[in-house]
This record gives sequence, C-alpha cells and structure tokens, in this order.
Amino acid sequence: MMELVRHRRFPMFVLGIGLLIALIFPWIVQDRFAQNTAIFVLMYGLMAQAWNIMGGYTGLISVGQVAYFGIGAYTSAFLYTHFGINPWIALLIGGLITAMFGVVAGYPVSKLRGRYFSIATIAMAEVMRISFSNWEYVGAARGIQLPIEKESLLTFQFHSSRLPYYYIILFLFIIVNLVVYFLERSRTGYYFRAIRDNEEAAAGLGINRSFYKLLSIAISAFFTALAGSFLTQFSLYVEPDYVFASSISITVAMVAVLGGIGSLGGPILGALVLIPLSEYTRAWLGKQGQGLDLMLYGALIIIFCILEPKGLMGLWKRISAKKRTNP
Amino acid sequence: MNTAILQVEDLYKDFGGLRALSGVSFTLEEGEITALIGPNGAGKTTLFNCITGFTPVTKGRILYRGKDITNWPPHKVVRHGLARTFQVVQILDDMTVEENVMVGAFLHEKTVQGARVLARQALKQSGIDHYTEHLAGSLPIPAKKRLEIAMALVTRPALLMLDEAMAGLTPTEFRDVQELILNLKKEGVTLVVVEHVMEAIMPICDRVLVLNLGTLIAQGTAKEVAENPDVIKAYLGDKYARNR
Ligand SMILES: Nc1ncnc2c1ncn2[C@@H]1O[C@H](COP(=O)(O)OP(=O)(O)O)[C@@H](O)[C@H]1O
Ligand SMILES: [Mg+2]
Repeated sequence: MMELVRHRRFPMFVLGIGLLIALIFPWIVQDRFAQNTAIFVLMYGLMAQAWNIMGGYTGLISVGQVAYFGIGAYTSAFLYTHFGINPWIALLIGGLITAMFGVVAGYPVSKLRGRYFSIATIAMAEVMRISFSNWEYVGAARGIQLPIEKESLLTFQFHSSRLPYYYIILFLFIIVNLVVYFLERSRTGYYFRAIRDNEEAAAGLGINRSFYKLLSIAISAFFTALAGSFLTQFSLYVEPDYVFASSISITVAMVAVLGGIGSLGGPILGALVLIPLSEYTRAWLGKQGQGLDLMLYGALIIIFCILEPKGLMGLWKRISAKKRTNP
Repeated sequence: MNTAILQVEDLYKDFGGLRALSGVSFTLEEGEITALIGPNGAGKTTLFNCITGFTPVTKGRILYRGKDITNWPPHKVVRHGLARTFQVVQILDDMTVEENVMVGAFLHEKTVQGARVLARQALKQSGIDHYTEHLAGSLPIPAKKRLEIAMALVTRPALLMLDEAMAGLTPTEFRDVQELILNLKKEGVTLVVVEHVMEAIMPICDRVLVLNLGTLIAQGTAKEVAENPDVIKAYLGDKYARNR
C-alpha cells in the first residue's frame, strides 16, 4: 500500500492561540496548585521537546535525560553558591557545560544503536546520581542549599508570587520550540531524520553520523540542563536523589512518546495532558499513601497507548483528517 | 588517452576466519562502464563495501584519482564523488521520496529550497518524479531501486557503483535502467555495475571483471570473458568446462 504524505503539521494558528492562552493563564487561574502545575507542564514540556530533538528526530532514544537535568541543576547551584555567579549566567554556563558533557559521554555511546543506546543512557544517569551522592565537594548526599536573596529578576528569586517563575519557564519553553521549529526546516533537521531512518543510507548520502548525533545530543542536553537550572532556582536546593531521580527521565520520555515523537506538537500536547493528570491524581488520591494515584495514572497511560499508539499527535491527525472528510 | 579513476591494489577482506576478498587488484578507467560479475557469495558486495568505506579493509590499498582513500568513512568517500547503491535497498522509509533525495542534495545546496530544486531534477532524471510526495517506505521495490539511484545521482558522483540495481525488474524496467546508465556515461560518469542478469549488463559495458570466491579470475571485454574457461567453470561447474 502506497502512502501519500500530506503535510499535516500542527497548524500554526493553534500554536498561536495556545501561546496567547499561556500568556494570560496565571491571570485567569490564580489557584496556587494550578499555577505550580502549569510551571511543571512547561518544565516537562521543555525537557520533552529537548528529548524530541534526540529521540524523535535523530532516533537516539534516551531514558537518561535526568543526567543532563541534574548536571545543569548542580552546575548553576554550585556556580552561584561558590563563586557568586549570577543565576542567569550560571544557567547559561550550566547549559553549555552539560552540552559538553553530552558530547564527551555521548561519543562512545553514540556508536551504539537502538536499545543498546537506550540502556547506555540509563547507566549514564545512574553513574551521575551515584557520583554526585559521593562527591564531597558538591555536598555529597546533602546536596547544595541556595541562600535566600531579595526577590528580583536579577537574583532569579521571587517569594511573593509564582508569576515570574511561570514567565521565565514559559520563555525557555518558547525558545526550545522555536529551535525545533527552525530545525525542522533546516539541513540539520533533515540530517537528523535521515540518521533516525537509516544510518547506512544517511552515511551514503554524505552525512557524518557521529558529528550529527553528537550535535543532536548537545542541543538536547543544553535545553534539558536549562530546565535543571530552573528547578534549582525554583526550589533553592539540589540533592542527588532529587535532581538525578530516574523517574524524571521516564516522565520526560513518556511525555514525548505519548504526545507523539518527531513532530513539534507532540511534546507540547504530551506535557499538557500528562503532567496535570499526574499532578491532580496525586493531589486527589496520593494522600491515602497506597500508590492509588500511580496505579490510576499508569492504567490511563496503558489504555491510551493501546488505543492510540501514534500518540496524541496521531489522535490530533485523525481528528483533523475526519474534519476534512466530513466538513 | 584514458586515465585511471580507481585503483584497487592487492585487496584483502576477512570476516573472522572467512576470506571474502583475496588479493583483488584492478584499475577502472575514467568514463567507462564496468560490469562486476560472479556467482553468489563471490564477494562483489563486499568489494563495494570496502571501496565505499562501509566495511574496514583487512589489507591492501584503494586509490581514487590517485588519492589513497582506504578506510575512509562513507560520508567522506561520497563527498569526493564516489557514490553507490545497495543490493538490499537502503532508503529513508519515513521520509518522502523527495526528502530522501533532498538529504543527498544538501551536499551541494545548504538551503531547503535549493536542495528541493536539485532533488526534483534527480527524480526526473531517474524517472520517478511521479512519486515525489510518497512515503519512501511504501513504494514498490522497483521504484525503491530507482529512488536509490536518484539519491546517489544527486550527490553528483564521478564514479557510481550500482549493486544489483536491476534485480527483480521486468524487462521493460531494466531497459529503462540500461538507458539511464548509458545516459550517465554520456555525461562522463564512470560506472561499476554488479548484475546477475547477464543480458542486462553485457551489451552495455566496456569491460567485465569476474570475481569468484573472493578472487578476480578474469577481466577483459565481454567477449573475452565469456570465452574464458575459468569463468565458464566458475559459473557452470567443472563438468561443463571439461565437456567443451
Ligand atoms: N558482514 C559479514 N560478515 C560475515 N561474512 C560476510 C559478511 N558479508 C559478507 N560475508 C561473506 O562474504 C562472502 C561474500 O559475500 P558478498 O560480498 O555478499 O557476495 P556477493 O555480493 O558477490 O554475492 C560470502 O561468503 C558472505 O557470506
Ligand atoms: Mg551481493
């Protein structure tokens, strides 16, 4: 069966309306829990989109994104507390250092394919968690506590309102989406997808596979680290079991996969659905302490995967295709 | 005066204990069509893989226009004008036909628009422009083989190596490919063609190389090779050779 490809990307006006809603959201919804949830939607959306660059476009399925997240979180916490470097600059340096780490750690594993690569990413994340747990210089298992400062944009600390945090993470989230938007329309984006589809064919077409895989990892690590640095500022402490928790890697991958990988809209949809689902099931059912929330959450995900294996983007495409056939 | 475009010198390739290529040496002249034939398992595909960097060479040298390209990575080889197709089609299944060719076009055009223009030309040249918007993975095999040729062509090769590009095609289809090969020759492209169907390649080639069990057992014109007793033996067995 031959398949004709109709370019049914996420329509831009939908993104525009979404952006508008995102901009006014905290003014409409004042509830603190809802605002916190929105911040997590954006934080995980940022990470899932970063995951998408590696996993969705380049085919490097990572289950260890928390390594980049944690290194970003630690770098900015460390630079701030030890050298008094401004949190914004620390955030940027954290991103760059993590990108470099991604390249160095990625060089040997980028030769691995498919599930072997994925397993290596899990190992990498665990090694990081254990190393940081034992590294006295960065506080070992105690982690790093950030001093409380006067609230201002410069200190990246806000105590009277969540709003600034919300807008900062929204800003970072928009940037990663812009990067993916332009990536999709660039030679580099085509090269990423070619590597994902068939490494031999890609090499035969003149693509330096190692270089582009490492580039993909570097971009992904950079943005994931920004999310880590953001969390540092948001919670004012880092701890190995907190910022290197494997559950973060799993959530990131799940948000992207459930949303639909290899497209701009997927991780956005995934974060919009999955994160509130997880936050609210926990709020409603988590207090009973029997893991009922996780069971419900897990069951919902399994049901969804069975019904819609192509993710929320697949669902979106089906809905919009139906609209087209019966107007 | 002909000049050498590719020289293979005393090439060996071992897979563990298996010697797939054993002291293979030959020279390809610029602008010629060379047929590389031999029974299944002779080492034809392995030879392609060694030349294009897809498998490391055990011993020996490969010179392309006088430059030693032995064990260069594939992407570097293709950038220098040496492209190939694969016996088992290697295309980008989840991308459209046009996008497949665009990826190769990016070697010469950095912009998406420019690459698209080059891709359209190559698709037309290979006669599959009517599939432009189709998902590559969903094409029938003959169209996939054409697509692969288009992907190789768009990289602008000086030397193009086709590994059983006509296998599984109907007579009309392989006449189209023959014509394409002859057109490429006219444009100055040097070709090496691995083919099982002798009738498909013998009439159009300038020279034939015969590989058997990893050794080059004969080379020459189609006529010379067809009369070579070693070749007859390799293809039809000892009995036939003795009976002649
Ligand atoms: N990757 C490989 N690993 C081990 N043996 C191989 C590999 N590729 C080819 N061979 C062996 O090398 C020999 C030559 O194979 P091949 O080059 O595919 O022959 P041809 O293309 O002439 O049919 C065969 O015996 C084959 O089994
Ligand atoms: Mg073969």
